[in-house]
Amino acid sequence: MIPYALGAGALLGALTQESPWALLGLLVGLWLPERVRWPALGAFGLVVLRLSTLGDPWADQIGRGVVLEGQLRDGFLQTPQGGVYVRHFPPLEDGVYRLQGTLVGPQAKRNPGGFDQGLWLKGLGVKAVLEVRQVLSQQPAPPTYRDRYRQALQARLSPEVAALATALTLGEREGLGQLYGAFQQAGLAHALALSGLNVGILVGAALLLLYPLGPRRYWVALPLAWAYVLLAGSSPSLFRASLMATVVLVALALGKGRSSLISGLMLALAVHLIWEPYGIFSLSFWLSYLAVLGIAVVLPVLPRPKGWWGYVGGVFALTLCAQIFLIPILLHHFNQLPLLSPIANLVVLPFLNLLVPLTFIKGLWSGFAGVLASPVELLSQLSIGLTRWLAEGPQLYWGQISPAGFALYYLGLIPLLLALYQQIAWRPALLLGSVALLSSLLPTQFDRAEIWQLDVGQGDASLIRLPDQTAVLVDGGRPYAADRVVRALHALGIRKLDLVVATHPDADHIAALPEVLARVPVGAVLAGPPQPQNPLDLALRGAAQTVGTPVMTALRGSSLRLGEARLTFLGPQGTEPDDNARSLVFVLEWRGRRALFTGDAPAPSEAAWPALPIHLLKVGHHGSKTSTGEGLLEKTRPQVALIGVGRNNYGHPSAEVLARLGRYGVEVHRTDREGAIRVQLW
Amino acid sequence: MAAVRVDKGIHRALSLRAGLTGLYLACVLGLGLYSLWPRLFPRFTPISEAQGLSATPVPSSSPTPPLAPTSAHPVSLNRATLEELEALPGIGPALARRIIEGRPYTSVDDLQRVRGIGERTLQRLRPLVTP
Repeated sequence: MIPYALGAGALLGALTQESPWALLGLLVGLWLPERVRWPALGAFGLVVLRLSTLGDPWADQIGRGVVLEGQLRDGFLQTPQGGVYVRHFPPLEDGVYRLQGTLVGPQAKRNPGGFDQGLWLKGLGVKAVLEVRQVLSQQPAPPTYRDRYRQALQARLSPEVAALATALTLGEREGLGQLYGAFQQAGLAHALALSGLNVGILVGAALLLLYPLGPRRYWVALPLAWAYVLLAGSSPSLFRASLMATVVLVALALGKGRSSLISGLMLALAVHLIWEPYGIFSLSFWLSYLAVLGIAVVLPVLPRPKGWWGYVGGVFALTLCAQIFLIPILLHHFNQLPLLSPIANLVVLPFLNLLVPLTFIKGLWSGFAGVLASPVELLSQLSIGLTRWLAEGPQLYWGQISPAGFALYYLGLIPLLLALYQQIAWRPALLLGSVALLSSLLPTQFDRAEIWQLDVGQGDASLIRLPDQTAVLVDGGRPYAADRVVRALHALGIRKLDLVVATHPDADHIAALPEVLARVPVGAVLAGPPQPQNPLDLALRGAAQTVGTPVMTALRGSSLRLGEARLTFLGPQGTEPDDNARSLVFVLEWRGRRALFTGDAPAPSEAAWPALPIHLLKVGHHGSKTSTGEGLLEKTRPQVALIGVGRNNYGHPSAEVLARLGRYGVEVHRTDREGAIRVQLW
Repeated sequence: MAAVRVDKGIHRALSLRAGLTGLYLACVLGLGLYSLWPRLFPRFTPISEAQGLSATPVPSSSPTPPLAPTSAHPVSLNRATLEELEALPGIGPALARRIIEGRPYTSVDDLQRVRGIGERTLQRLRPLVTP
């Protein structure tokens, strides 16, 4: 019981970073039976103590110009004061630097599916970002053992195999490029995170070689595991694996026999969180611990057939057990789950298991390089080929999951686990589990239309989503925004767009659309009259033609029915001389709720639109004073206004327009302030 | 005596189990209701169809909406195939054939020569075609 108490106490202590309510854990702790009370409270206290030593070294310098000096590695500058993440374009090479710039707080997530820099850095215990203005001095870093190791490792290997070998032994995944995506899609990405696979093989091999030493060999193997952490650098999964290896080795050395997986995991959790309490914010921390938890909890109670099928079944069961607690996390973050992953693990993992010790030895001494190059090359090519092939397999696609959804998933598992442990019968367990399932499906029966104004920097991208899964994208922003838009679509569970509306051929509206068309299946593109002189319009139409998506023209009076919704176009006439004035302007109507999308249409065009009440207004031209005239607000009376705007030199949105919206009592939301905005059209 | 004590023990175990099941169901259904909550109450008052959109006659140049697929480039009056011409808004098979019969065109305005194409159709086609 003591390991559980330690783990739970440490976890609760770490949760005090998230909410002070976790301090109530102290009260629960005092109420615990005496045998586990003090371990639990001790772990809790140690984590809180560690947290108090970790303060924020940069707190009083945020927003100020600074000159920092230190060693830069993988984008992080280590200074005597503490670590800081460095932003510079292009990224700086590793080395010793003196950098001048501004310290800023990390960026929070701006869009659904967007990169959450704040959370990422929090999980690494880094509190500030240095936006570099000037590199004052730069020296190459003195070559470390790691560099020499990498050189010997990569010698005589083809580039792709060298990248795979580096990822497998040192955990450096940057070189893999698109190959990493293939590993993800095949369900093998876990093999590229340094973890129990590496530590286990390393320690196991050492124990075999050291067999003549008797019980002392456990003490000798122990430093090996930690030497590996020093070589490869500490990641949550490697740290966890080494801690668990330590628990196992110490237990064996003391003659206590083999410790159970779960108590090893709990002890590792306690030590991990006492050392790095910020780990609870790290995705890889949770992936690593929950995968092992699944294996520790579910695998022992599963039936296991004998013989050859036992092996196949064992690999399948292992893969499923590792994933059982991860499924919602994987779907939430990666929006897809490879359905072939048990097969991939059955077929490819044995090769990778062979590769790990081979590549590890190859890097140790350049003398091995020649001998080991060809087997490593052969095994790697085989694994890569198989992985690429398996990556084509079917995927389960899913959007992001709400906190309630997560809770319901884990709640739904509880009766099933209890039934596996024969605490309750299967029939009530399935009944309770299906209540959880139905409860999670309940809200989907009341889906409403919603409108997202995505944050694409200076530019516009709106997404209309109807309850019948119809999705319409209106503009997409500048080219760099295409990736954000596609990620947001995937995060919202949208894998195809029924319609893309390109309001007018300006870069901050449609330049991202060709890439979106190339990456997401689109039913049809709706654009204004063709502009043969405009390269952006040509690029959009070219991209549509390449993927075989029809381009239709909408003009004033056009109307389009999409399930329960109707798009009615108020403009343009098509003959306006100015690009902005030719913006497609339309009203979306769904069950009596209306939203007006205006592109960049200027005030004179607004005058030509009919007087009709609306609920939601996508403010024209990013809030420029040339749009959103008094007349428009008078005749439409919107309740909510969305402004797609980012850092710009035009003065968008203008104070004049904001004041006007304020006078009409409109609730204003801006993407530069809030990131992506969601409005339920209900 | 002993039988009564066992009975009490079973009773307590059963009521504990019932209590836990109740707590479980309350949690699960509560979470479902919690996600459902924001969808239940409308924020906007619906506007009936009569207000605005359908009632206001759109002073459009054409009674039928000019919503039609166009190719990536404007359609060339002199080179386009029958199908490409038919894809233009307001152009049926008959008009498309007459446009082909009326070739060549030196300017878009020449389209007015074609029987069945008036000022209004021409205005609508102007941005979509080249000579």
